[in-house]
Amino acid sequence: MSVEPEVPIVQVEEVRENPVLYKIISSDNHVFTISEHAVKLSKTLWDLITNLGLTAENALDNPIPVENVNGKNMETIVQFCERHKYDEEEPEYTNYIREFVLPEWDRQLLSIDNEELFQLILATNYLDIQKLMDYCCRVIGDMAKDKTPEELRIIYGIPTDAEDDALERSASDSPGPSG
Amino acid sequence: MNFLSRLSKLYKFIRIRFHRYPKFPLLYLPYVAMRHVIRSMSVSERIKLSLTSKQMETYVILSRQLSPSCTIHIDSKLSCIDMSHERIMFYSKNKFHKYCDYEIMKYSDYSSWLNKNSSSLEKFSTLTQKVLTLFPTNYLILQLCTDWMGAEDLKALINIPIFRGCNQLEVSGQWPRGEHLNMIMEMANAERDIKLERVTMQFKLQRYEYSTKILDFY
Repeated sequence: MSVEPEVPIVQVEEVRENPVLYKIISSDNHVFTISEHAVKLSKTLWDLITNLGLTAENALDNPIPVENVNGKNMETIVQFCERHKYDEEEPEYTNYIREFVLPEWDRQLLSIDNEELFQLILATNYLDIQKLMDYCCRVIGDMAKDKTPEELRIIYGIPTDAEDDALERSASDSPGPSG
Repeated sequence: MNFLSRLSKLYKFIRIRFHRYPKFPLLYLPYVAMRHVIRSMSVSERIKLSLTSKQMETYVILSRQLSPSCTIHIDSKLSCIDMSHERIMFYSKNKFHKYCDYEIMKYSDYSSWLNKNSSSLEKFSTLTQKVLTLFPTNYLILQLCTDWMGAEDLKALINIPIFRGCNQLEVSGQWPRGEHLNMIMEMANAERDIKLERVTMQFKLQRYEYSTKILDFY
């Protein structure tokens, strides 16, 4: 007969969960709550929190306004940061060519139309979230798979050399602000 | 131009003209993000991207990353550039050897880089220059197969600056003699290894003469 241990079973998540929460207000006044571990993924936000001296006591009373990011993108960013808050730290940036596979959960999260993806990258760039930037860029890079240079030109809207030259000529021919 | 080639061009035209591609304004991204996008691409994708325009080529060069090592194999029949870490090989002709899971790029993939009328060696050195500009390497290995290679060919080859700058020179095939050997040994210096394959007793006779050089035996 087996005896059940009397030690209470504690979920690992509960132990790791940090009670400190922060409030973020997007440009369209949506309010988001994010944990300390998650917010650390954004260098911009974490620097702001550190510089403002927000602590566990006053964090929720002092929401952080983020003027450059709308609610929709902020929602995606918060979801991403909460999902990856306990990930192991990425190895130091190296200048070597590396390839990585985009996890399925993140691929689903980033299955949005290209206009939204563009805005999300701008937001990610502003908030300085390295991992999300890598993942978003991987999605865009994947558009180049098995494509010819002509197809890449169409996909990425790259003008030909002749178009570039014509644009440059017209820019130099047009009078400047004083002329 | 044969019928199949015309048909293939027509198919390509129709596919590009009528296919609905996803559109993403890459050039409107901030530079840091664009660099991330380029760096997320494979070697062959970056090369294709650099072929779209001069401006894009500049961006690909600015986003370049190092390859740990690169081997240039020069043979009178079929030369290639081998980036083993990235598992890709480049040929300056349309002929190639297929290795298991290596990606292959050949002449038709970057024909605009290479002058159709130039010699095989010129084409290959231009290709090497282009590839190493986009993907510089920490360690460049030059492998020469001297079978059927005349003294003039060898001289022309080792006088090309990009090949002269290699970190390691490996010579295989017919045992180099006289002028060949002198030219090869002149490539030796304190920062470059020279490896001679298929070398046995003959080499020992030369050892005294080349005792100051750095030599590895196989």
